[in-house]
Amino acid sequence: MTILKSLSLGVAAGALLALSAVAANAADGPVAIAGASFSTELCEPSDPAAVKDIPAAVSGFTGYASEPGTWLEQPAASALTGKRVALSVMGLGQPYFLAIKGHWEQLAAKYKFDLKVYDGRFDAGTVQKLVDDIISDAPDAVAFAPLDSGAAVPQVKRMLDAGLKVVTYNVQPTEVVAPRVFANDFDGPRLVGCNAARYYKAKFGDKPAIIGIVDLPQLPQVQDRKNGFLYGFKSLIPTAVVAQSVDGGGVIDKANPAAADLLQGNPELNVIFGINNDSSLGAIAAMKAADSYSPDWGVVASVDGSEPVMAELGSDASPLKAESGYPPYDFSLATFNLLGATVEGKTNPNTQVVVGYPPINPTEEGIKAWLTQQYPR
Amino acid sequence: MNAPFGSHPSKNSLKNGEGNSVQRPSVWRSIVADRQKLQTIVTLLVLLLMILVFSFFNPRFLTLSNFQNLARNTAPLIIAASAMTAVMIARGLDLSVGSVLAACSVVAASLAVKGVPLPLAFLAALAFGALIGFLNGAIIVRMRVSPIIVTLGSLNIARGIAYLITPSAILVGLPPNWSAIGTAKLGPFPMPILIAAVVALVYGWASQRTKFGKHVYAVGGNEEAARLSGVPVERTLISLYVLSGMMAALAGIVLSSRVGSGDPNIGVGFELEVIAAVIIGGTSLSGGEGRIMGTVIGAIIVGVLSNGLNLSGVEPFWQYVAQGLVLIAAVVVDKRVNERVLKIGRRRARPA
Repeated sequence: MTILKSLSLGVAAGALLALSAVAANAADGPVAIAGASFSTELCEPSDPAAVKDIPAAVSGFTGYASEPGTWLEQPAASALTGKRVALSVMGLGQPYFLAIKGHWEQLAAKYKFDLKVYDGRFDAGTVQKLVDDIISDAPDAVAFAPLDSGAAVPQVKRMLDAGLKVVTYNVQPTEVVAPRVFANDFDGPRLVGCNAARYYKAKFGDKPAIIGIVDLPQLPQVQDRKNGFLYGFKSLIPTAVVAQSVDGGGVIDKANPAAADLLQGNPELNVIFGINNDSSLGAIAAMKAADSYSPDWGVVASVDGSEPVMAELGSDASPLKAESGYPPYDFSLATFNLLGATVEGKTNPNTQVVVGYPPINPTEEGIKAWLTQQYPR
Repeated sequence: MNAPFGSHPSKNSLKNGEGNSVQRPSVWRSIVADRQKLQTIVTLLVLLLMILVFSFFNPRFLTLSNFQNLARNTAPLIIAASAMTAVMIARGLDLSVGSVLAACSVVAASLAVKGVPLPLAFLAALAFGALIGFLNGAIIVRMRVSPIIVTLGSLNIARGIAYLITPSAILVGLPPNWSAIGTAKLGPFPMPILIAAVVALVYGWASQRTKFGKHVYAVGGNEEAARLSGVPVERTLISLYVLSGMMAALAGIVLSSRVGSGDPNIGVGFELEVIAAVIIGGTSLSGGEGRIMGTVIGAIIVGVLSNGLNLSGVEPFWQYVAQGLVLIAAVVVDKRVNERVLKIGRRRARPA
């Protein structure tokens, strides 16, 4: 017993010492610097000439004005109660869409509607087939996630022609066909750019910033992300230059070698923006392999806010210090409310709800708050 | 049927049609006698040419750190392609390698997250890969179903299993030593390439020096003739698919260790890269011919192409075009040079 007691005391004392050491380290470490420089406000260009050549947003062709309403609150009652609802997702292989599915299942349980989830598997052919399946199944309401903004137009039209009530979410169709929920893919990452630049200036002062992008050049939405980030970053550090963009394919096993090449070809690089979390995690893994993984290297930034990136964001050892979330809970709730309003006949094809990219404070509280709401376990 | 690495009829002379001994220069004799070796040499020349061109565009291409980078990137491809080479020599095909890679990586990662020691988690992943390979092989051989159909089916099954195992799409909470295999070095050599080298050497040795290797070429050359000659065709084919599944698992372990996560999305399209590496390396689609060394060079060509284009700063959209063109050009040049050298060789070998 005495030995056990002594051991327990020893372990407890050791743990306390370790915690205090971490706390002492964290007080002036990269997380603390990022937390202190963090802001939820957009930054304006200090030198307009530095950002004048950055293309403006292309994905939000209907503008970013959102229909007034309490779209992000759970209502007392929903028009979807007792209805059969179809939810399509781009692909369940991504944490974001898996979380969307989870949130909808909770909503279905709470508001008592029958939910059927269709997985598009990130494949245009599969999405086309699931549209046919939804039309055959004739549900009362459809929340549809287009894979391709152009192909979505005839797909949504076919569902509407079949008499279905449809709203789209995430990617916006290239024509106004149905009520929709989407995000401002330029301003969200622009805020990440602002926060990355704030952190960079706080930690590295006037050191020249050389940027690399782990990109996915095929998607307009992603180009908005990239350009938004650059606009934000160069607003505060106008002298920053882009050394190279590489195609990381948006998945970690492709992003990793692409980022390794990016680092290899541009040893002077000290800023990396990953267009999604797989891209930034691929870059982080490449840095580890190249022995350059350190907060002293520079700053890595990205958007999405999935759980694996949160571990990097909250670590003093990691250079990833700026992140905005692509919020699955907000998207789910806004789409749920918009679909309910559509079933009640309170919307028209022009009705749009614009969801923000909440910036995530890299402190423990900030990360916890984000994960608890958007990615509950 | 070709002998494993070409036949070697005699030391310095061959018999002409009348049975007279004809003396030939040894190099040409060797080339004519071993077409596969020639093809490997030509593929190697294509690789050297690419290295030369890329080093001209960016001096950083020819650096030790970039070769380490390249080695880490191509290691999973070499591992899976070595196994695929043997499968294709035996006139088979395994389209499931990318999904098996993902499923096995997720099996290992999910066990590691639960506190299972890494060696055991890796062994479990290898066993899982072997199981899928066994099922592939057994269905192909016993039920006489096309390998394309069977492995296409298991491609979907393995991917589905990968998604089913991971409740939140990407596994978090992996132990700190998870990345050890993917990032460690032995001297200047990254661990992944050492593992790949061992796999390629074992496959090369087995195909050249063992009875099993001879059986593989015999089955690919003419299955019926092999069966009549007493070759255990079914056992050979099933073993090849088991090994292919295991090597896909090993590639998955190396890759997921390198990227530091257990992700069911990895390896999409990996099977096409593997097949490209094998074919560039000179393995015949119709079976019976191929060399592991050729495949290793083919895999390096695939890796060098992607790495070199990135380092040269080629725009991503142009990279697609360039990759397609260079891959076709590599195979065409390889084939043309091969034919040309053979022609010269035969002319020189012709008796006066």
